[in-house]
Amino acid sequence: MMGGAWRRLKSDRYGMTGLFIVIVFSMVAVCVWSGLLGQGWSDVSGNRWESVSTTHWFGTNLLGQDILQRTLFGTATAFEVGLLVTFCSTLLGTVMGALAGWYSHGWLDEVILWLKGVLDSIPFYLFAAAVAFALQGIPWAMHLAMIITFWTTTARIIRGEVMRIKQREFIEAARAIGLPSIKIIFRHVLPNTFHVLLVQASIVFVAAINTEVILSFLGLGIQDGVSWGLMLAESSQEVLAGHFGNFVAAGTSLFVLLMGFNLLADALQDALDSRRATA
Amino acid sequence: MSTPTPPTKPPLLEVRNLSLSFHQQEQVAIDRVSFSITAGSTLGLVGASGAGKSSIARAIMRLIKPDSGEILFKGKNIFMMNSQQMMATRQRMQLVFQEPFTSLSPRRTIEQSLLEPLQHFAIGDTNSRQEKTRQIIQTVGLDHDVLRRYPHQLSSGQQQRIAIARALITSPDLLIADEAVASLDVSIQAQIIQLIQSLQEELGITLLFISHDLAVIRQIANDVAVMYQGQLLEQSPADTFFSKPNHPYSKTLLSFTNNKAPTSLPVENWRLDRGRTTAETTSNCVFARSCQVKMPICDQLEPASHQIQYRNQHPLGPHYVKCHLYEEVNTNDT
Ligand code: SF4
Repeated sequence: MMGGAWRRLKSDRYGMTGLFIVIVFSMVAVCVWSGLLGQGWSDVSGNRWESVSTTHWFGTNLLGQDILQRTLFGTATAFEVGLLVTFCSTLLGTVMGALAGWYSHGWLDEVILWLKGVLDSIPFYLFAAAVAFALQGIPWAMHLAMIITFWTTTARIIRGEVMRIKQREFIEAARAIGLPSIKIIFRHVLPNTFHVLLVQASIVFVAAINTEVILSFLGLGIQDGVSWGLMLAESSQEVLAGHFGNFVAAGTSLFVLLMGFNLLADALQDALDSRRATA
Repeated sequence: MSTPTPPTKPPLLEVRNLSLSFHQQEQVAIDRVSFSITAGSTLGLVGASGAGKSSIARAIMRLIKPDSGEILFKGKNIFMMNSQQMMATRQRMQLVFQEPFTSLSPRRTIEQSLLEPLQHFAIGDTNSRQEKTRQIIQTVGLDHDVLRRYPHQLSSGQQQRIAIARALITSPDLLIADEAVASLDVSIQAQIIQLIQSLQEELGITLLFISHDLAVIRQIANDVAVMYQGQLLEQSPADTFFSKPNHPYSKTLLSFTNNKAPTSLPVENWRLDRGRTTAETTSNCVFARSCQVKMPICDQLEPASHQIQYRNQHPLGPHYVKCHLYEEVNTNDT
């Protein structure tokens, strides 16, 4: 089943480029986590605003820190945010969507839809600022703001899928022997939404990394460590003075990774969709 | 074809005055339907698609809740059962669906699908369950290695055999086949019907066989019930029904089946009148709009269900017709 999707993905040149980019970046992230790369991100290893050289490939920043080290470390930060937010919001969205879809038009569905409507109607950056403010000093404020707002899209998609799947006869067969709803949902319904979840998760991942950059730029982002967003925030001062190191390094990394992920997400959607057509 | 069943046997399943409407569309799906099935026999429920046959099947399985009426299984009303009794009852009745592919869980192996009812009802231990899946696979005429496959790796005939196997694995007393052969090729249709028949003989199962296809019903049923727009218009032992149908709708159905290609002509062609709304019920005969022998009274009064009286009591069971034409016969004979 998944074999066919993989074969289709493999024949998609853009998809494979995307996959390659994503793999390279995730390897960088893994190396940072395991202490092999980017460990000198906070060391002052040179003078202020040194330009490109063999010791400082991307130059140094205002404090004389190596921009390459910081970019590498920022990759790990991006993946941390992406993975954590994607995992939590997908989990939350799946559970909420499954409940809403299974009990569609019941009171639980109404409550979940209402909650989703409320969250969707709040301007995101305002909400993120409010959460960041409310949770001052807590390092996860930004992650939390994203999780709380991102689950709604996943929930909507899963709700639709569940409403579609629950009409199928194998669900009736399971109900006919009196299998409890919760078992039916986890055993027979959700496994069939896997392909949709995979695509949706890759979209959330991109959105999370993107949002981290913007929030960090606004000063609502991560509190310690360094991220591409923080580097871009720094660079806003420097660019005027003619120092492009931070801007180019963080901007390019962000652009390439997001492009890779978008290519992969598109290709995944295609590959998994034709599986659905045959199913 | 079928052995006559003595009428003294108690019915395994009895449906009394069952009514169901879908409130959103205000559509009548089942309209005061009553019938019973003797243990070990087969009732063929025939009607166009949308006549309410599947709704009856689902109501019996308690997948949908009817508005009123009773369903008695072995004499007990299933709507009055507590969860323990219901669990025991669910084990004793099973359902086979029209679409073999969508009736199997796509991401579970055949073995997992077959084991599920056994695990759910806590029948046997791990070893005996596996033994049982192997047995049942053989019973439905398949090879052991399908157990490790997924539904999409099987042909539709094989899938339907698996669906039957899953239905039979808890040794039910009642099997409901809802258009179980409708989506299969004719040759495979014959095989599956044969399989169901031989299983019925072997295991003594009672069968509610739902189909829009009279040719199929003819092969398998002891008794026939004809459904039209949620109502049962005629109920009769199969032999009588096929030799001498009484209701004008039954006559139309049969003449169509007899005149044209004998194998399978769907009743679909009579889907002239779409469903009725609740407001429209009971003031006329539901078949009045399409009836060839309609009388003035048919538009004003709903006919009752009359039992046809034979000089000698019919040996195979009662014969009911819901039509004004038969009032005379009834009063004259009694
Ligand atoms: S009651 Fe009247 S309209 Fe209805 S089937 Fe009989 S004759 Fe036809």
